[in-house]
Amino acid sequence: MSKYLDLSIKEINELLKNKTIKPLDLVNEAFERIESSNLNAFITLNKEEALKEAKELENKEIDNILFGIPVAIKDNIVTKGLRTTAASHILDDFDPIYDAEVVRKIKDSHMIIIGKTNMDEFAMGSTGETSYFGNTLNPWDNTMVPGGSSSGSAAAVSARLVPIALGTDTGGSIRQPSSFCGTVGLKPTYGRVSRYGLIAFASSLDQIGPITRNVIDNALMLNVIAGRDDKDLTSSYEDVTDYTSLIGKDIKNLKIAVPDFYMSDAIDKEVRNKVTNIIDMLKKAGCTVHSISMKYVENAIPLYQVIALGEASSNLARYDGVKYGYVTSEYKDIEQLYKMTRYEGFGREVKRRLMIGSYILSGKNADKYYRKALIVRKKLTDEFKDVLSKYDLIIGPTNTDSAYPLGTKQDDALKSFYDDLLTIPVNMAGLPAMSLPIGFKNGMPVGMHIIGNYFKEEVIYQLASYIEKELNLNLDPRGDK
Amino acid sequence: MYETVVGIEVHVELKSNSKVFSHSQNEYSTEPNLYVNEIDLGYPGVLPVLNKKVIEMALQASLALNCKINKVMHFDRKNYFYPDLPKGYQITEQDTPIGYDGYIDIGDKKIGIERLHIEEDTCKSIHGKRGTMLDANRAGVPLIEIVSKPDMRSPEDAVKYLTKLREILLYLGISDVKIEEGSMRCDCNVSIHKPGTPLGTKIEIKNIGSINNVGEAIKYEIKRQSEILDNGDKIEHEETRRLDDKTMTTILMRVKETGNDYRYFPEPDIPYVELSDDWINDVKANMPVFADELKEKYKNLGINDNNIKTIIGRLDLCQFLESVIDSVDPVTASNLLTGDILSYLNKNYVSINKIKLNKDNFSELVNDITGGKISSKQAKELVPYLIENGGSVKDAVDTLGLNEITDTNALNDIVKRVLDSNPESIKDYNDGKDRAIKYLMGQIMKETGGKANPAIASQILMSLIKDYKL
Amino acid sequence: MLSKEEIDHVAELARLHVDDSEYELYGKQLYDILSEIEKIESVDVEGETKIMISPCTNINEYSNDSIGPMLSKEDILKNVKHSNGDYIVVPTVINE
Repeated sequence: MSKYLDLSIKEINELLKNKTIKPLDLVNEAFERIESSNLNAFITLNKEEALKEAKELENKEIDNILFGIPVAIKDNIVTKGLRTTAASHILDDFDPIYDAEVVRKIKDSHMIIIGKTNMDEFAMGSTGETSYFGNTLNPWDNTMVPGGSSSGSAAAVSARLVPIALGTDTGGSIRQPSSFCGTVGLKPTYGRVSRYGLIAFASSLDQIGPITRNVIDNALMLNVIAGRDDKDLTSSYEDVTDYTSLIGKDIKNLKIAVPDFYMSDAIDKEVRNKVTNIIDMLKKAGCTVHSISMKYVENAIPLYQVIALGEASSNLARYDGVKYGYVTSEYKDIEQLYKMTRYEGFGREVKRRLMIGSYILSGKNADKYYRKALIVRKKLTDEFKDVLSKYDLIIGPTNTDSAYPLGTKQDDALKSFYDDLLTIPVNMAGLPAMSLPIGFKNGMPVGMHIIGNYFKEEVIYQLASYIEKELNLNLDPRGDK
Repeated sequence: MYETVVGIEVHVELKSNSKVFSHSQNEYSTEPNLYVNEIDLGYPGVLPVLNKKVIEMALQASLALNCKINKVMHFDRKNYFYPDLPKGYQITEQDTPIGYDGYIDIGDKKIGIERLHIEEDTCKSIHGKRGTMLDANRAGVPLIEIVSKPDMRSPEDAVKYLTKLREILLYLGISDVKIEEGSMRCDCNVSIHKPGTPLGTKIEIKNIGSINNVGEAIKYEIKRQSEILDNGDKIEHEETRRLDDKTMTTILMRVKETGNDYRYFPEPDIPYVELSDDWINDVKANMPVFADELKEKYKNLGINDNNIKTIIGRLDLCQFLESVIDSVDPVTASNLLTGDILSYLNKNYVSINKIKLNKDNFSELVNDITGGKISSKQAKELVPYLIENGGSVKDAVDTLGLNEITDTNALNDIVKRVLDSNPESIKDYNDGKDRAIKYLMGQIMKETGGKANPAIASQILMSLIKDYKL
Repeated sequence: MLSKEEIDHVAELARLHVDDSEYELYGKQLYDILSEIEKIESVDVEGETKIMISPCTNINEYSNDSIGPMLSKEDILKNVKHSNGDYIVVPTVINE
């Protein structure tokens, strides 16, 4: 078996350019690896199209560094003619009639879409276990959760099935599985990447971002997908810079804040120790690192429950069995068609969240909870802005702990929210943030959280690349590591 | 005696080129699902855009209705399940309607406008035996909803209010405002109470088919509700009723449930809209002239009341007249417009902008009539020709041969004169030489500058020459 | 615990059928989450009244009044389960 997919993007690109390999070799290798893997990382494979595309690329000029690179796409991003399910029974035969903007950009760059990755249903979950298509396994230990909701994307990249995958992040859904699977996952600034074609969970929080094995590949992928899109009115006009531009640059003048909330007793001690070691490393490298306190971050969970679930209850109203997707066979009138289609079509976690979201917006609750939450959100954001006017970056752990065993916390309705305790505040403020592998706890990866200022993703990459190089971790979960 | 309290909600379709939150065409069609894209269908992953023209039209309407303007607006989602609503929510402006606190002057009083806001229309439903059929052509068509204050006290007030509202929107040119076709929809709330006592229970009458029927519906409701109260009964529940236009009575559709729970919240997919003072002032400065001013102007120009009424009622005629009024005689112009031209337009269901009679040839025609160059009889022939073919009046006159001399008396004199001065030719004719006739016809044409109608001239020549005494 | 009536109410809003066997679990889980949510009421916002709808700072995001591509009938009906001619069909709804 060839091992081209173990190489970095830059190395693969060199081999393509000097014609040692063809895109078809990469695609074949990806499918060989996927087919011999037991991770359940994919819902739908795009084999026929991918092979066709790889052959067509043989006659095309290599015009960019991602040319011919296989990529996997989370299954809540629509792909024209390629089934897109959001891991839900209610969309399990859905055939999109248009491409998401990021998919258009990927196709323009002549990257090859390998398939659609498994995830928590409608991105609601933090373990991958709410998928209608069964849970994904963690490549480091198949008895452990891979994290979620971008479970398949993180697992596929970690297991080297594909070099790059797209994930989406509403409250931590890129960073949390990246942390559990030992991958580099970035949630860009809100508005940096077009949401057109992303199946909405919570519109004011959702963002698409890359999951990769290393920092530079991540920046290269962000270069492809970032930018203004007139189809998404919330997408930014802010210039797209080369996100690799600060990689390898000296970090000695960076000012870094560590909120005490991120290092509290709620966080596993060993995870905290790992972060503390990094802080020492950074201080030695000449960074200024200060411990600070933030007041509003502690409201993250109820804030998220109100805003994300309120928006979700509205965004998921369209799945009613009329225009697309699953429809019940048992109904005598329209009301029953709605209720049974949605009862049978949605999984338990989704239904619970839709009920909560509907309740929050109903009657007087809209003012009592929702409006209040939007005010708290403003306070939290102002607080972040204040910190980031004094510091370049904020760091801490990505999660309260490393991955835990599958099946342990399914009946705890609050658990999936508490998994995102440290990641949610970033979505509330719309800031960019990364999870970077910084070590292991009992053989399971531990991720560090690097939060940047608005549209300053390149500074996150700058710091991350330094840490990555210094640690030089072996992040290959396979037996032969 | 009871006092009647009426408030009216009107939905008006705006005639932008594209829909409000997508680039699909905003057009009526009998063919279903023709003007539809993935946004209108609420496909997974789609996001709205925001048509600037719709904001401008709504701003024009708000200013024309004397509303205050919400200079910072956001949109809201109104959540409810209904098959005609593809996303499961309607994008509207609940918190920040573009216009609020305005009024319409209906002559003897002002009727307050509570709010004017932008929202999207839903799919059209066709209810059949085998199910309800959905057509998404209308989904996403821009609407403005205009909510009056409960300031009307009689059916007459309501009719005046709606007539005036319709006229204003028509003159803004932002909607067809045709109730029959659904581009204007009226729902009214009617209650009665004894003066000095609390307001009565509101009864809503939905989707009334014409302005006059709104008056009829209110009349019937006053009667119906009075009878209930006179019997010592109460109007227990708020109801939704509809007008049966055959019997002119209202029929119960349903008793209103206690407050629909629409779960409004701010639409996160559409950023804030800020209306600049410059834009507002610009729209104000470019307000069209409204009907009242025009009526006064036409009266002063001597146009008769019937013509004024007809022209004011048809925006296209009015705008056309306005475009030529400074260069032609207004009375002649108005007579032409409301006569044969309007008949043609009505017969063919077209607007005056879609025919070949234009500002230029119409002005030429009016000036030729007033200058005595064209008779009204000739004008009757010219109008349909110009409508179908266009071109200048001069060319039309030539093509139609309207400048020929066909008057037999006049031609008689000319033929006589020619015969008198050509005895040789008469002789030739009597000798059987046919070319004499040809020659004489040539002389007649010469005499008339070629304008003699050949057939009539030839007929007169033949009859005169036979009996001509040399 | 949430009562059956309370669960029925929110399920109705969300148009979800609830099976008899689910009330107990929903009752507990919804109660847990709602107890968490109530914390938001007591957050001190120091007199702030402005809301933040989204992190987006764009304003006046207008599109022009132009007509763009529309879908073929085939695409419109591609994912529709019940249709009649070019129409999407649902069980008869007695109007408004």
